[in-house]
Amino acid sequence: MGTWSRLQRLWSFHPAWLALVAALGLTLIGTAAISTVDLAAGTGSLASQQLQRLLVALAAMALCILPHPRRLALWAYSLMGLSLLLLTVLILPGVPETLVPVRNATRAWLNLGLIAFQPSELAKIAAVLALARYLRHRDNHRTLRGLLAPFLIMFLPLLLILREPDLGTALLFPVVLFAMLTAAGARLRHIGSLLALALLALAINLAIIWFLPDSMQILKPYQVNRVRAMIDLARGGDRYLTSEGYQQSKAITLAGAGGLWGLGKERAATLLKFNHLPEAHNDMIFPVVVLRWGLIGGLTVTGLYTILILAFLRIAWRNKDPFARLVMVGLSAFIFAQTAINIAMSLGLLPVIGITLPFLSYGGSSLLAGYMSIGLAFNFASQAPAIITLPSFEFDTAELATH
Amino acid sequence: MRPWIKQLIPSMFQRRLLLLGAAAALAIALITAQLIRLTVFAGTDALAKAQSVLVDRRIIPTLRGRIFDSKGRLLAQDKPCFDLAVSYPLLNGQWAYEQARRLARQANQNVWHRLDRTERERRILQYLPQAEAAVEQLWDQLSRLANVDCQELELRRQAIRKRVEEMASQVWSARLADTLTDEAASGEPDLSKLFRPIGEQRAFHSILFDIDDSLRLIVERQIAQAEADPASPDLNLAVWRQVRIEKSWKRDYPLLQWTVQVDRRLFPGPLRSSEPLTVSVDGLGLHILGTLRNLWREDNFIREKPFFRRDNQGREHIDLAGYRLGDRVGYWGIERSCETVLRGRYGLIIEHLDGQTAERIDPIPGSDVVLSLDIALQARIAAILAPQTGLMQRQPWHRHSDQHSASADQPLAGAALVMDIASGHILAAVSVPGFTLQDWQNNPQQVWSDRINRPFVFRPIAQAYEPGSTIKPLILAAAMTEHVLTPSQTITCHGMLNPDRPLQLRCWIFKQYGLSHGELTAPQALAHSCNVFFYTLGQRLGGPTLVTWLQRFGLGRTVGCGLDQEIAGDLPSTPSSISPDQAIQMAIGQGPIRWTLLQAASAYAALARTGRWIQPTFLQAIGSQPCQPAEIDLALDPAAVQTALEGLRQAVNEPYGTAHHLATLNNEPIFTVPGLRIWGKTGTADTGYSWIDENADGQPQPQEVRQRGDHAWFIGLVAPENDPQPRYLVAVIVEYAGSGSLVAGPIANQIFLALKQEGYL
Repeated sequence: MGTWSRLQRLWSFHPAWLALVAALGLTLIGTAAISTVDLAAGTGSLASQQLQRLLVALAAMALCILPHPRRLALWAYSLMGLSLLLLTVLILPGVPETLVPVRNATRAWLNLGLIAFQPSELAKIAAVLALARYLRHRDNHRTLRGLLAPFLIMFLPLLLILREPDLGTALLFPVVLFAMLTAAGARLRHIGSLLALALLALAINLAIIWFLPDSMQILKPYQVNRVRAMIDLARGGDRYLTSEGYQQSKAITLAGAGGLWGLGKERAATLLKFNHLPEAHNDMIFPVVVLRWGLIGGLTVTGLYTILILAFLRIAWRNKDPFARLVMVGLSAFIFAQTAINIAMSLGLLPVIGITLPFLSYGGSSLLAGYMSIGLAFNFASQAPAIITLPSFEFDTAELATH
Repeated sequence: MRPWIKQLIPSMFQRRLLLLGAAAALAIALITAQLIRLTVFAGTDALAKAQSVLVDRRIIPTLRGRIFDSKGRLLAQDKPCFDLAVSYPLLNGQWAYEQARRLARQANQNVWHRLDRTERERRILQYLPQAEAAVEQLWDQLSRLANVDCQELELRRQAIRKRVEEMASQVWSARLADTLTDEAASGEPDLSKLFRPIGEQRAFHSILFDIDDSLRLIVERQIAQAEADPASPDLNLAVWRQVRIEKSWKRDYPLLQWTVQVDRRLFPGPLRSSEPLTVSVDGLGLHILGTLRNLWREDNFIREKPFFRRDNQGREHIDLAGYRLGDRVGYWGIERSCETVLRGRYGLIIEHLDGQTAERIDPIPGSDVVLSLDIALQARIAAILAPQTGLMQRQPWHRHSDQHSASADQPLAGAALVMDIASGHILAAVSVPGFTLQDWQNNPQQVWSDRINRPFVFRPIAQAYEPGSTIKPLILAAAMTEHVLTPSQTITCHGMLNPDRPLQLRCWIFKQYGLSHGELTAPQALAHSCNVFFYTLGQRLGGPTLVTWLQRFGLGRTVGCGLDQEIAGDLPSTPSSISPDQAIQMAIGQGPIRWTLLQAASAYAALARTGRWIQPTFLQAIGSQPCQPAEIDLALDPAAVQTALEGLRQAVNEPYGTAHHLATLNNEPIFTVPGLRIWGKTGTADTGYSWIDENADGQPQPQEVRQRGDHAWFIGLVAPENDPQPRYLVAVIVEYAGSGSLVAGPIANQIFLALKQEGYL
């Protein structure tokens, strides 16, 4: 079956189209919000730059449609190796700053002269592909020992990203791991116990942050303070208003100020300008959206994300190929986790972590990774219904059959 | 797994997808709920909060009112000036440390986030000398430019640091005390909140005051250069960003210093000289004028009348007459008591940043205050009371009994007050020892806490003394008004009240010479200051009546002279509780009775006005509004007043009067200023001793006794020779000095002369 005939199948209505429309909608809303930030800044031209990057991202999306899914699976480990290599370059000592610039005290960028991008965005997709490839024809992840390899695959990039340091991105990997393992049919009691362990660790750390003095903290001081700031803000306190809690309190205030319908562009830009919300175009784009279009705007955005995730899951649902299934689950988990964490932190539900809002935030790498995911969705959606109907990850029926 | 789900969705994978979807739906629901809460339920508040930053308020300072004396001389005013201020972080080394940290961080950019605390500290210390050198160079430059000694500058820096650190520790302990009571129920106090830096630790502090224009221009140019290039790596330039020229209002007291020529030709014998003495007085009227201080954050003024306040609903209120951190406020004296009048109201510019519109509320300057004082007269009296003249030094002819106390050769402490009888206006009031504004600014602690000299106490109104014999004219007037003594009645002095008990209630003449006064009329009794006569009147009046009369004369309460320092003195508040024995003692001004110079003066003035008591005051007018002192008619019998005044006249003018001559100086007359008609009364008040409880055991030890002996009083009324009515009142007290006639009389004589020199007589 040639590539062309495979692609022809895309012309019929398919959930991937829904995902693309939702993604484009989000990017347009994002661009409009960024233009509000531009207006507030008075000089910015971020919105038009974002549109240029959208074109690049769409091109990348198209590229991702082309290779046959089987080939994708074949490349998965090499891609993973490449991204691990790039991540290692970031944190190697002695790498010149022309190649790895330090931005916000983080070495997350690779500057290749013509373009600069974040290898961690590539690592996300590569990790999903690699894990899907690893799990696709296996059942040993239904034992506790069998979980070791999947954990390794996910924690290698996680550790490298943590060293940049980019806690926000690193945190996404365990979420995706658990989602993919669940989908791949790992035993729920294993996943449950591991989740319980993670929650326990989280609770212990929260308790340490809350009850113990600064000298006995495990996290970095600024991270401890961000957690404290969030809890204090939620309790209506004012201790951190001018320090660690500043960004979050401004975000909450500006989001709330949008009300039901939001304010006009001019008004929103004025409020934005004089309230000085840091990273308004980037991590904190969601409050800008709510400021401008109110609750309706916020619900539209969450609705579009829901549509996008549902479309991804629908592709996984219909597909019989285990690799495609897991990749779709992994990608949607990435997008969902990133979105949920970003919105939750901008609404004061989670401590502030540097993490962008997929499709909306200003930034090329983030946009690129997002649209590459869409491209993969198209790719899998174009797959012919498998003729072999050996069910993938249907362990209970298999076990029933052996009984 | 429930079978019905398995039947509904046979694929395990799809069931797992649903599980994941459910988890996601939960998260989405949570986020949506928060979104709705923030926008719909908290939206209005959030909008108000977001919009509040759109309003920019700028405060327009106001001018504090001026203070004048009764002759229109300017005593206090706001004067514009420029100060050079430096940031506190520069003073305490924090700036240098931060610069060193910045440099260290820049140099170790790639590894900084991996270094632990000790290693970072080590690298910072490498850069610290460089940053400190920049600061040192700044001090050198400033010292050279302002022509202020380097060491002097260093002292000022230390003084600021000491002051701010003390303030911080006070604020912190106040916060701690507050928190401990507040959070007694709610557990652990939050230490980081308690000990957060106070405003002064972030603020700029003036280090060079009232700088001249050339220095200001140089410094401003340096600052502008530093501001123009904020990214400059040159620390010697960057350090200038920690310097500011601050336009400030200096409270200027132009007449604190006077030089007076004291004419000594009418001084008592040994002190007399044809050569005038030049006396420089400083801190003139400082007790009365007061001065200003800056408010601190926990100040009561800010708590009670804040400039800016947010109510429970989060609404903002601005009180233009309210107080802000760093505001100046009166500390004591008129500056304090007339604070609300002098202060004025801020102006305000409210600028709406979105619409570029502005509202303006003009400031209202404070009202001027006119005092009853004549500062020239005040200066003359301050000069008379200065130690150089010798009048306030122990003299051999003072006949002082105490040669042993610790302060035998110290200048005497005391006070004098001059009042215009018709109006009750206080023309002058001097307290010695006093202090100068420089003393206060350089070392307020020393002024405050000097328990021996107590320079801060404004004695004419804030120190009560036993009246001694000076109470007698009031007792006489009261007794005759109450008809316990008729004008023609006489009382015979046998040297003691009760000849059966010769050791008790003796007359002073018996104690000193073993004599008695014999039969006396009322005026003679006053002139002789016979104790037996007044013991008898006290006996006849009885305690309740006597105390009621003293209350009418203004004892035992503050009279409201316009200064907050005023005290009430001592007088039993329940007349019925006074025993007959106490009444007998109180009739000669001993026992449970103490009054201030001010109370004594207002009571004598009421006598001179034939029973009309007028509230004595330091205030003549506030703004354009003259002050109206309260008046009370004491309903004294005019004949009684005439008798008392006749007694006062005899005391000064008849050879047997206690205020007639200096018995230890060849009987030379006390009052030597020609052309005056004088009435007066001496007092030698038995007062025990003063002591300072150095070991805090509540018991006086011999070495803790500072002074013993009698307070010397003289209260006199004076008029030009041809005027039958007293015009001015002069009251003098010298603490632990002995005889009223020997010590206080000559001082009053010089004050009469001063009144004449200033054209009052």
